[in-house]
Amino acid sequence: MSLSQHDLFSVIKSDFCNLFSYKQRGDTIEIITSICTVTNCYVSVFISQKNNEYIVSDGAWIFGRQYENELFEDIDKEIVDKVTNQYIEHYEIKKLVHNHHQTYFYKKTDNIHLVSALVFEVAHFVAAIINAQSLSYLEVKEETESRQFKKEVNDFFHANYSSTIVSFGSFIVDDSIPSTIKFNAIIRTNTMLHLVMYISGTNLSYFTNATCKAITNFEIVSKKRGNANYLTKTVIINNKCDGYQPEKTAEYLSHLTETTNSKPILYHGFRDDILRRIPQT
Amino acid sequence: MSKINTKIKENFDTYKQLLSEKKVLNVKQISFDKQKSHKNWIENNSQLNGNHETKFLLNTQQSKLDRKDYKFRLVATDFCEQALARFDADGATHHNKDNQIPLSKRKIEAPHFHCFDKNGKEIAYKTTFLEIKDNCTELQKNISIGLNHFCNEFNIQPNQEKQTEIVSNNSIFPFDIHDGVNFI
Repeated sequence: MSLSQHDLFSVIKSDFCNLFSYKQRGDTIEIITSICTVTNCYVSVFISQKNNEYIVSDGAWIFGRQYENELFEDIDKEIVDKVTNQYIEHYEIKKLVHNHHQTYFYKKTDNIHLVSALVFEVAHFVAAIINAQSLSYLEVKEETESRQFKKEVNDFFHANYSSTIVSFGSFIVDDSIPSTIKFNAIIRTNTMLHLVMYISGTNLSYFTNATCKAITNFEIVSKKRGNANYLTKTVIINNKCDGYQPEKTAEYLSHLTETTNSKPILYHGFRDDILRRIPQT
Repeated sequence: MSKINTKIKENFDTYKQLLSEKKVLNVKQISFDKQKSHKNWIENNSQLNGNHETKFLLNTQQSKLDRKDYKFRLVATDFCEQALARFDADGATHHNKDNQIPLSKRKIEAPHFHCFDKNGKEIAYKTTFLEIKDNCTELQKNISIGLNHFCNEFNIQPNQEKQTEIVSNNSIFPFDIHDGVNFI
């Protein structure tokens, strides 16, 4: 059965419009829009009325990672920050940080006839930011190899250490060290804290960047904690990657050794050194 | 970007087996002892004992701002890094992107489960229990109901001697995300 053009339009309009729904959240209403992100989430915006003004916000959901949005690499963050600033400018979005950890993006108006326009703009803004955060800006080979190496080393830790003492991709729970300083693995025992960084790279530039990141992270810990004897710093190198060229990175690796007070462990062939460096109980 | 989980796609029978086989939650208490890297979230990892050699973990996460926003994740990192399945008590509405599903059927609001289909694609779904609005409200108010529902869905059984209790602060209900924020 074929539809007339008008009926076809009606079906499409009805299907699109029916995607809209709402949830009451106290005095704020969540509008679930028909706009979708590349992480397969529908964008929600939040509306409340205060002092004769309508506030339309993202509900702090972008920074709250409600859209399964994660940033994986430093290089991504630089690009995403640039993109975000341009979208903020384009949609004329305001930003505020509440209670240190809640970042809101919002627009407001005292004209009820403009609320829909604000919902339209804030929703498109949210989708744009989530999409920008969720795309990969690294070369596919680099991303795949880096992920594989992380997985391989994580598996080694899983196999040899109790899951209750190992955490991956986390930061030290301590207000003196910012939560942006993350370690590939942290092993906590009753008396010791072992911090571990992995280094890999499909070319010299990626490898050097990863080395610099490890040096910086450990230098910040040393600055904040001094050379505390309950803390060890370990670096694990993917010595099979193309970026591993010891003669060209000698200065960096020597500085890394000084910073961590120990030689980096070459994973392939020497991974059991990890067990000697970090006791299993 | 949402990606195909090739490990699950290539080993779908094993995946289904891991979801359905009996697992025992062997802890007396789930308390949120770990701060996630995102400061508004806290979490707990509890081991599950299975028949299989695979080691399972039950990962529980809760928002410190909105206690009814919590998640359970069934994890078996020996098999794959991504969680095998999860439950979201609140949060974003999921879009089941599938060329064979009409637009009107693609939208799955929270609370909902997530798992993978035979093509390794992550999908969200609601159980019959979650289709009833009052059930959703009760389950959001009380995380223990959510835990029971998650355990039933993936054959996680309590240890007969231990009735697992979740130590969680009471919800502020309803939570208002704009409350107290000074939008200047």
